[in-house]
Amino acid sequence: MTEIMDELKKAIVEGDEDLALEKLEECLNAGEKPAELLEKAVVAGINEAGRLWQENEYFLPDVILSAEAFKAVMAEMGPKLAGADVKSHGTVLIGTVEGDMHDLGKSIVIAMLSSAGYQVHDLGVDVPANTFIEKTKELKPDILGLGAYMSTTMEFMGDIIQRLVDEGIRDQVKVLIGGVPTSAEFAAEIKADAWGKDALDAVEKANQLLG
Amino acid sequence: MADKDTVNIITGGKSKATAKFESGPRAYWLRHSSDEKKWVAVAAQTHDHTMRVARVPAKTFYYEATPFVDAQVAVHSYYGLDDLTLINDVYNFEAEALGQKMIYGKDAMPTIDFRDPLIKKPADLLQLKTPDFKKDGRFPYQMEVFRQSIEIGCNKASFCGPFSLAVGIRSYPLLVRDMRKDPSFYNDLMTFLVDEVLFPYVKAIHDETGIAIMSGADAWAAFPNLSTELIEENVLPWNLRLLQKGAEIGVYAATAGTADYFEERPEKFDADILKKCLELGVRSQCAPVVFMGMGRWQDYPLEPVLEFARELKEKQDKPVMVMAGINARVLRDGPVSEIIRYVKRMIDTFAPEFNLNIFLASIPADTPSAHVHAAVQATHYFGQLPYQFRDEASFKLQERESFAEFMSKIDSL
Repeated sequence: MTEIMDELKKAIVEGDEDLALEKLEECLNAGEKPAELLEKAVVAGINEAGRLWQENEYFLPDVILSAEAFKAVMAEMGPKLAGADVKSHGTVLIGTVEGDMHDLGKSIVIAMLSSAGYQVHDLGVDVPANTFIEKTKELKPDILGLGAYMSTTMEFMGDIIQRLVDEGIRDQVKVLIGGVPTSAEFAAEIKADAWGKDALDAVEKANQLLG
Repeated sequence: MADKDTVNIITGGKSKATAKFESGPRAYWLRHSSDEKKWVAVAAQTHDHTMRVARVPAKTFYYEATPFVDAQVAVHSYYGLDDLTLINDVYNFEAEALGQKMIYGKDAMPTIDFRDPLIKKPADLLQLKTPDFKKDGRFPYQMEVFRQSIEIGCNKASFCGPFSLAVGIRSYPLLVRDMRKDPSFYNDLMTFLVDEVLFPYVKAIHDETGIAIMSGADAWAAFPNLSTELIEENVLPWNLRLLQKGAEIGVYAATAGTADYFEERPEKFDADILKKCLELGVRSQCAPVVFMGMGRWQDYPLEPVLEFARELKEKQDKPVMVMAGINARVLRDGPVSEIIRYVKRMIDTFAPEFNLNIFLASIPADTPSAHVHAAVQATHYFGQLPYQFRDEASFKLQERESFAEFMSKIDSL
């Protein structure tokens, strides 16, 4: 890995979005291949942040800043990766259910899933059940990720899963849920396929679901 | 601070009621409420759950003080809770009155639209003004809730802690970036929120209602939302600034929940970090309260908390209060046997040495009533005072009537 690639990785690990974008431009100007940059600097950077989080050296603010830097770099790199040989583990359609505006956890989950090789479509927050259903039909994701952060909104997750059944598409998609008030027991109750206790666990569960 | 005040900080201490009620839940509460401490007290943050149990629409519950207080008192009475905790969507009022965009769902409490923070760039701070606490946002509703609380002997108000309020109008990622990259703006923002919003609010509550004990909610400053270093450097000074300003007018305005230990993964449990969190919590409240809030206390070892509480007790002559949280997921998911064991473990660990209170932390909306009854009954049985160890097998859970049945006979009880 070249020195500038290393600096790009470091900027992502340290959550310095402006510096990361600057280093990305330098790397591209220096002729580094986007696919290689993605793997060795960008993904490696967010994975390193995840490792530090797991080892209690990083806390939520550090991870959020890394995820934001990762997101900014990925937005710049997206068009440049077209046609590149980038391995995809699967597609994930993700959103926070209707009435719920919280997206902090979802942002980290998206960063971690993307870094693990998933193509993630983010529907945002306050997403009505109809949108989840229509987008599931349209995009045919491998996994539907549902987030809720209030005990009054998490119940909508069960409604969405029931809608998947009613529409006859439940067996075409795995449902992974998460969010502060949710639990493995709740996931089982509403017949979700898995529960992610945090972003890293969500990646593990996604890997298991598509194993 | 008096010992009684220490207890009142979190539990919503009782005071003399200022009104008489002939019938209904408030009359029931006043008939059954007592200062006599027969057992370890149990309190709960119930608003989501109350709304569901009492079947009050969100559009009424979070906007009209009388139905809100009636429903809360009724549900507290039904479960036999020892202290009234009339908390609603406490994180929203100040942000909403400042102009923060909110989402008003039909079945849930109002919630901040984090996609659209009020302060998008530092210059936006200059446009903000101290709200009018008599008319802006839902302050009139909240002031009336506080006024009615006093009538039934609950002499305590709530506010949003400085850091959590900053998150509400700036968003968490932007605020974290401010802390790191623009500390000068972060200081300006926090100074405005404490000096121009929260202190005037605290003063307005005191002037309007006479309430002198107020508790700030601060879940955004729980660990690991922030590291202990960030809490100490960027949150604690502002909590103390508000506490100091409140003290100057005779109000105890302490932010609770700052540094609440909430590590999701039991394998990452760290006793040193936990102790630091407990220490920050004590400093934030300027009172010997050991606060165990939302965390996975069913999984964490309790010995570090016990060691911390003992050390705290040795350092001073005031009694140490331990607030033991019962995790919301356990309350919702059960089973009843686990809830009972969890409560008993807290009581057997802390009741022999400390002034213990059990806190049912944010009961989820759809929690089965039997689970809440189990937690309350177990607290009252295993926590009989003076404390004496009681075998688990000796506890018999009493089956209870439905909430509707309870309400149908409330005036005759």
